[in-house]
Amino acid sequence: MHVEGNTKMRNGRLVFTIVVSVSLFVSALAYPQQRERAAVELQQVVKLQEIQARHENLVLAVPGVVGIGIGLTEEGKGLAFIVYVEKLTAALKVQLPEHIEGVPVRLFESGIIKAY
Amino acid sequence: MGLCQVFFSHRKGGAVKRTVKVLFVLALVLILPQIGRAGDPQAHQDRPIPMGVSVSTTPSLPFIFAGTAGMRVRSLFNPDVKFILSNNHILGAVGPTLCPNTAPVGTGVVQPGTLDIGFDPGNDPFYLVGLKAFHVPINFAPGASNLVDAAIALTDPALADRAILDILGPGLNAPPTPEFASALPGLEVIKSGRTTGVTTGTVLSTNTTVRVNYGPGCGTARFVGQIVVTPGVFSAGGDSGSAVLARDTLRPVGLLFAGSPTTVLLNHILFVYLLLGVFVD
Repeated sequence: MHVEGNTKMRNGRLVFTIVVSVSLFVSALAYPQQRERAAVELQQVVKLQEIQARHENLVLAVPGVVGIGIGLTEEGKGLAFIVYVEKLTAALKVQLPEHIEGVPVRLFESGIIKAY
Repeated sequence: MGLCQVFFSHRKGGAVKRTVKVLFVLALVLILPQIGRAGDPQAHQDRPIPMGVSVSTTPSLPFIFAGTAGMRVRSLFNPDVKFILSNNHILGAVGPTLCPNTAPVGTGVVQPGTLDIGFDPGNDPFYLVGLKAFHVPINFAPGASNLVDAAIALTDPALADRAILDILGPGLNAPPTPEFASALPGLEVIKSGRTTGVTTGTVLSTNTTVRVNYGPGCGTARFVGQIVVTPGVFSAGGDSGSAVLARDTLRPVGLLFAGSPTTVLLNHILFVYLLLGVFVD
């Protein structure tokens, strides 16, 4: 009886130790990847800022365009320029580029932006 | 003697227990009704007021208006000097135009705003919570690059608190976390404001260059380096000046100042700190 109880306890402890060490190992593996991914995204944003600075005046000069910024593509994968327009018309879609220096352009109907 | 001691110690223990019980019940009676009861950001608040509530300047006549007290901040040069942070078009605006850049130093700031009081009380101490100290001028020239729509009003810890109304849930006020969060696209944010209360949204774009309409009498100003949040219901008119925080860490992200039916615009909180010489308190 006593011996059986002890082995059960020992097994329990062993399982517990294995679970803890495996989860620690996995999180240790995942942590630097997460940090790296965030850093890469920030770097990409900085790169896109330079591209935006070169082209933003041309885009903002198009009538009906309210603003331009850096966001995600519609699928949420990768970065894109988001161009804010008063009303999303077919004419505007033709006038605005689909890519700027290889970066996709996403149109977003914002309406007029007013001070709140 | 022995019996007496037993008797007394027994009495004493009972009294302590009873006191603890009474205190516990009292605490329950006092605290429980507060939890789950949302504050009213448009009502007159007990002093010190929480942040996220209605404020305006006085005199605002011939109009009455209201914005939001976003955050309590402190001077970078003297941490004992406290300010209420909001927008230039709220704390920097006075009647008769209510355009930004018009309020002189020392203009009274009242809580709630004149719109929510229903009239302009002037510098009535019942409503006064601060005096307008400084604004970052907004340049309405066509090619100008504005960074922030921000102003501060000098206040006191006895008049304004650090905690933001209902930010952790109804009845649960909490101050923001000191560190700032970098506003990358996809970040989930939260704010507490005068009109729409506590709402959440997602950062749609950063580094945004955008034209903002300040009404027919004031003009349109071009802003650079702005943050755009969706959905549009994240905020509405009167939420101007709200501090927008990262949802899971309550770290400040931006200062809400404008919007449209589908978007809400924030100034980058770092620009706000640097241009006003303040930091979250």
